[in-house]
Amino acid sequence: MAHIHQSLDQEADATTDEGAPTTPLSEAEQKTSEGATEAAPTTVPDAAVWWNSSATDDTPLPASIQATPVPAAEEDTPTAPMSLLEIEHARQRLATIAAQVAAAEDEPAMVSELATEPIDATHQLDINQAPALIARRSRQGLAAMAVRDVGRVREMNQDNVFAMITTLPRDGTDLTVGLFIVADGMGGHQGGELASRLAVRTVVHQVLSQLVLPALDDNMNAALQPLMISAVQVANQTIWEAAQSLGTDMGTTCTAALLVGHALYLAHVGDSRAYLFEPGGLRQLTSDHSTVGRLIQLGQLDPSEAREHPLRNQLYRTIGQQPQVMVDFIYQPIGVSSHLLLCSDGLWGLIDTPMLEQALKRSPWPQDTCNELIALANLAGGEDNISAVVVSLPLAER
Amino acid sequence: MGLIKRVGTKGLGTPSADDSTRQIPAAESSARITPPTEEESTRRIQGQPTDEGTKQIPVAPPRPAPPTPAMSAAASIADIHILPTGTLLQGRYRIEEPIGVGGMSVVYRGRDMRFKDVVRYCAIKEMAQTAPDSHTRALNLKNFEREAGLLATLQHPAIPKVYDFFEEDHRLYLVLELVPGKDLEAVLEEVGTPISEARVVTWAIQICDVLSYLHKHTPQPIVFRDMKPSNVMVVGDDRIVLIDFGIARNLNRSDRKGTMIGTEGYSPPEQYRGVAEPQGDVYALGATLHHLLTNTDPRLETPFTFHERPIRQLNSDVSVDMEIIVVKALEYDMNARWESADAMKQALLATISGVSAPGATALPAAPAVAKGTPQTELVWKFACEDEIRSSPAVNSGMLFVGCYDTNLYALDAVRGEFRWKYATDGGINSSPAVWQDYVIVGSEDGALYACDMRRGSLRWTFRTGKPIRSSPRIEDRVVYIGSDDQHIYAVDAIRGVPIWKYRTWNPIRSSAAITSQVIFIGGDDGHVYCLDIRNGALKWKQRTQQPVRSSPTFHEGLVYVGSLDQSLYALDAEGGWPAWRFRTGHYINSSPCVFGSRVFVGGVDGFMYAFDAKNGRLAWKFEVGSQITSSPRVENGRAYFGAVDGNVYCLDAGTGTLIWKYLTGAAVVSTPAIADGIVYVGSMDHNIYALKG
Repeated sequence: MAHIHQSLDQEADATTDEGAPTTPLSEAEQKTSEGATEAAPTTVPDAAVWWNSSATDDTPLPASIQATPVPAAEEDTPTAPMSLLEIEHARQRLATIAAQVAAAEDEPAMVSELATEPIDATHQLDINQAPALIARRSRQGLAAMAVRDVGRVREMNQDNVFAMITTLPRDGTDLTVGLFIVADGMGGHQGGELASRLAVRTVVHQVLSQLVLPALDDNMNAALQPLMISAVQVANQTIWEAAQSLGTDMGTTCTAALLVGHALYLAHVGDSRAYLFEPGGLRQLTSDHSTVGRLIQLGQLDPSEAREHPLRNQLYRTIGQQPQVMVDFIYQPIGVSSHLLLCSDGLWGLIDTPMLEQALKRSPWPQDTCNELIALANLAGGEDNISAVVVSLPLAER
Repeated sequence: MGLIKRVGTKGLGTPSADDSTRQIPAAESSARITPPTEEESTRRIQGQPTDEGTKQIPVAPPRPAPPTPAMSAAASIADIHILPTGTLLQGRYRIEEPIGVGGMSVVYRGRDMRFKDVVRYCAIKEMAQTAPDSHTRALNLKNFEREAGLLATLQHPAIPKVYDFFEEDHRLYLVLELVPGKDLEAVLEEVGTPISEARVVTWAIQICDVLSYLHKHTPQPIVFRDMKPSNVMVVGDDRIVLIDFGIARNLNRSDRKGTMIGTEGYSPPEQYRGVAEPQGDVYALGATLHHLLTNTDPRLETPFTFHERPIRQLNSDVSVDMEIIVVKALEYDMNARWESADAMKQALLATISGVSAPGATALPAAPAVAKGTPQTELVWKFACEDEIRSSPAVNSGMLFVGCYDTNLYALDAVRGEFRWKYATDGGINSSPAVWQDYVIVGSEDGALYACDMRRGSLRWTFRTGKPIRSSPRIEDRVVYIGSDDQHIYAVDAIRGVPIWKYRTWNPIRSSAAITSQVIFIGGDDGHVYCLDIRNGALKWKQRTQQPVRSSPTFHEGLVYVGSLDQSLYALDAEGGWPAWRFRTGHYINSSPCVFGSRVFVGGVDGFMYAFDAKNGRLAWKFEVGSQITSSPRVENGRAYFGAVDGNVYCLDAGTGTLIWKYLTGAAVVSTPAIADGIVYVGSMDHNIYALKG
């Protein structure tokens, strides 16, 4: 099996227009963000957002209390006691996030983005933050792409992928929800193709009927963890029954990630993988249900030996090949991570982690990233079907 | 076995010869004889434990074999060459009937016609070459010859004798002693429950004996490499015979890179690195014994998880000694196992004679639960004039507690001496909070009071329309408090003026959890509310079935809260939807506490619970036997809480075992406060206690 390493990576580099758009962008950011920091203290705090006390209750303050040292207390006004604090909060919060991101990406330019504000649908606009929001030019934001490719050896694509981003209404706000799935089918006579398609279809059906529709009706009481686990178990049941009636042994892997705001709810069976691109690097969230994967977990096998191991494709848990299945569940807040990557072993088996990381960094667009990943896997031999779901994540606010 | 998904591995799968007296599988299982389909899609999961057809000799091929269409079950039956009854081989062996079909061999019951006057049966093993490529066929042939040659040199009562080996009509035949009996897998299936230790021990001793014989083989040790229930026959009176030497081989130590052969579920970890040492057979025997003693099939479990299924937990009849022997055989590290089959045999013999063998003496230490009060020292106690229904706050060497006698008390935390008290116009059910030099507490008179921490003088009051039973929470100069007047208030902590209020439809008795953006609080209307910290705007509300009096706690994107609907909820902080919930046996009034990766909560059902915070898996529960409405506090790996039985409990937070308990004079509904190793808690007996454990 051929592995592409850095040298190939550079070839791929030449074909992308990396770098060109980012430089002018960050300059513009710098300018506007400077304006924002100057503007912020002079902004008139918006009194309307505060429910004020009645006149009788609002007794004049004793001098001793007024002198109590609180941040920015001397500039406090009776009409909006909190707004300066609030600005300071926003600034500090952003500074923390921006600094973490900057440290992770090792780009000094990012430090100038202190005044940018992460925004998403759940954010309630505050006039104090308006200048910062106007100035904001994020390098990441919620976007997703799912691509699958037959590869260079197989004649049939037995992988299936799914990506959906939506907002759902919640009492006072809207909530971003995403569903991302990779299923890698197995079993002859198009069984693998059928199994992975059934898996995606069933999980999507389950999530739509038990989360999306009830949420639209403001009637959502199901718990997300059992919802995700049972979605995959229902898929198992569906495929098992179909396999029994067709007389095949088809099965599939299934890695399904539900994004709710800034947290991930993952259900997983098999050896497809979910990675989170954290500031420290790519981290595998799922564990492979292969004997080899288990040996690595136990420290009985070195991960480098695993790629070439003759039994690397032996799975001890799949969807659809037994009447019941145990589903792994993982809850993971995204924090300041930049990407979620779901992929089949056709990708991770051929492309090593540093290359995955580089591909994720190269373009802000998930579509570019997906295409690049698939191209890389094909360059490395394309021995198997290749599928990738790339999600660029929203910045966390808390 | 197990599942294989791709050409490179599956294509050369050469199920090894199978053995003697097994019955031919019925039609449904004959599909297994199908040589592994070499389509691109051949990843498979092992379906049935009885599957014999997927034993592998996966040798990395130069090129994957060309795809061939998958064969139907019918076609594969036709592919298998089965000799009709009456066929005479070598003019001597008459085929009676097929008795077993292995992946690459058929076993017949035959009769040796040379013994004319007596009926002498034998097992005739025929090499069935169905593999499509010559490489595999050559490999199969070599294996078959090796098995024959190997068996011919061995002499042990637990190893079948070889009578003859010949080639006829381009097929290879091995004539063996016919072993009449059942393999252990069949025995286990028949029994359907764990097999008695006494029986297992007699088998195990014999297996150790034959393994020891093989391992001591000269010039080179023989590693059996495929120890599992289906390769062990039980004959007559519990005599053991090993069958299927298809893959046992002379161990050539210079040959570092062995091929991975064996059976998933029983094979030792090092076998996956191509290492086949005698200790591998010890592991596989351990796995076999575990299966027999627990009736849990390792092929259906996550590989290498025997230690997660302790034998005595699944079958309490098994002796401690036996469990220790098996556990030692199942060590991941080869050197930690029994150094030889012989050593293991000695240990097994000792369990019968009742004497512990060396090496099996490490009995698990009895759990050292230090019970009782001796270590618990009362540092001081202070008597108020009525019940203490709320919880103390400790700050800057001072303790503050509200009492139903209407007073807010301030005590010296070290000595318990009275400093000051402030009388409100009603009993106090609310727990005080300290912010800077303010002590803030709510009262039944409906007001929120802020006192000077040092002197107890009143700084301000803020009046609500009904009693306050919620406790103030303060963050960045803002006090958040609920009231029975159905409102949630945000109040300026310095001036006591309201910043915003939010109206619900029932009293608010829960206390807020605060993040940088929002607060979470429960209501008697059964909702958990998420409000914008700046203006009280509703972000979301999530309904539970009953009032929520427990106070939420926020940790890593989840909001934990109990409800009178008996469930503990972990709500998604942004969506409000439950991430998971756990139903207990009664109300949850207690407020959850997160420590490390766990969330702790007490139940009116009398249990203290510890869950994995991320997925709600129960880590442990501890039965108190009386209601727990107090909330746990966890510090330094210990969980402290009170119960209605009057005790203050201290548990090991990791294991849920009791470290100490201390009895007060009445129910303890107060939540402990911990500072400098001292546990402060109020009791309905009017006292506030300072305990050291």
